[in-house]
Amino acid sequence: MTGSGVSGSNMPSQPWTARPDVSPAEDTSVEALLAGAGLPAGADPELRPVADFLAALSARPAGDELTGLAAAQAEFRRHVAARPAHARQSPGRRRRRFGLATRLSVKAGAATALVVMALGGAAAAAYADVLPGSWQQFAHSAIGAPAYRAKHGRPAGTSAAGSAVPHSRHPAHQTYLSGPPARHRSVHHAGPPHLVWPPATGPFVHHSGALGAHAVHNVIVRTARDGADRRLLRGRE
Amino acid sequence: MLVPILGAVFGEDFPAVLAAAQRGSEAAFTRLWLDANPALIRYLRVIAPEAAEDVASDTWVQVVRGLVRFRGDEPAWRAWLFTTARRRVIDASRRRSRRREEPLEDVPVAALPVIADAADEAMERLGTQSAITLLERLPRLQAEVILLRVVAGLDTDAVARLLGRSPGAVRVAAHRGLRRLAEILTEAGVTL
Repeated sequence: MTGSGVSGSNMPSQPWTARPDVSPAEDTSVEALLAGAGLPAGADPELRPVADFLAALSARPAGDELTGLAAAQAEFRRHVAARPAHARQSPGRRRRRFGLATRLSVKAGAATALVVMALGGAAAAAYADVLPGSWQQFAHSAIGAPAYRAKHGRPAGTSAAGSAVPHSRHPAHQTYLSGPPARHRSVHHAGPPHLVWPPATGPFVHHSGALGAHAVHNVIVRTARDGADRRLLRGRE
Repeated sequence: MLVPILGAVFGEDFPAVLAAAQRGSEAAFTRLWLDANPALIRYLRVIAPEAAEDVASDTWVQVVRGLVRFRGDEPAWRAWLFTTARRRVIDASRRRSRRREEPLEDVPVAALPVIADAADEAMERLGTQSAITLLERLPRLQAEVILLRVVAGLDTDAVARLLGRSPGAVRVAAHRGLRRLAEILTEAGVTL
């Protein structure tokens, strides 16, 4: 059914022609004229005036058709002067430079990402205390990772008698840390600490309480000169 | 033999000329302008006879601004140029329609310009201008199609895209326009 309610079988079945008023010969001749090929041989003589008309229409430019050149050139100069220097390069050259810069930045980004991932992984391994001894000790001194522990649990830097090696190299200070600041560690944490420290003489890292999920701790520095404990840092993790 | 004044003028040189103009070469831009402006003026004198030069100037301003971003071959360049011109014509006609104009009744008859019959004038002077004047007697679509095919050197598909019509409609308009021109020329007994 058509949109007007007439079934397709009732529609006329005449063959459709797009332009029944134009003969094939005329069509070819006119197309040749419109394409600038001139009047073909054997064309309808009635098309001769049309061919002459089209020739007049596409004749050489007259003087009054060239009068706006100075204004167009001025506009062109003004526009070119307003452009930045790099914009005056050819589009292909700009594309090449852009492509090179893009490739370089992608490589640099990938290298940076690899370095960051490697450093991050090393730091994570250091804080997890799984690095080899010398590496772990280096991480301990460089970024405050846990000191290396032997299999029996004694931290590096402690003697068999349990005396401490000062954390700080400054002779005036002996810093005693409880190891890495552990997030979400409670003052009631019952498990083994990261560092078997402080010695039995007394805790130098004092957990003063817990606020939410973060423990607050003090870092106590014992000054070698007078032996007094001083609070160096009060942090919240 | 007909040679469209804007048809494949540059040929193989076109990419180099275009690239030089895009880099800022005024000489290359001048070549593009000299090649295109006569055809542009002829086109505009038919579809915007009252403001052809102004619209052509506006068209070139637009072309200069967009020249760096243009990508394409010579036919694409011509299509872009005439598409820009056509849009300028539409914008200009919209501006005119919004502008308040003095009613003709208020103008003294003696002050009205005397306009000769366009067909008579065309018969008197043979040449490009008379051909353009004769084209103005055709319906707008037919005249525009003939100009874009013959003067601008665009093919049927390009003209169809430019005008927003089907290629078949463009062919029909061109044939009917040329047939009507043949009738006018035969009736007047004029050979251009």
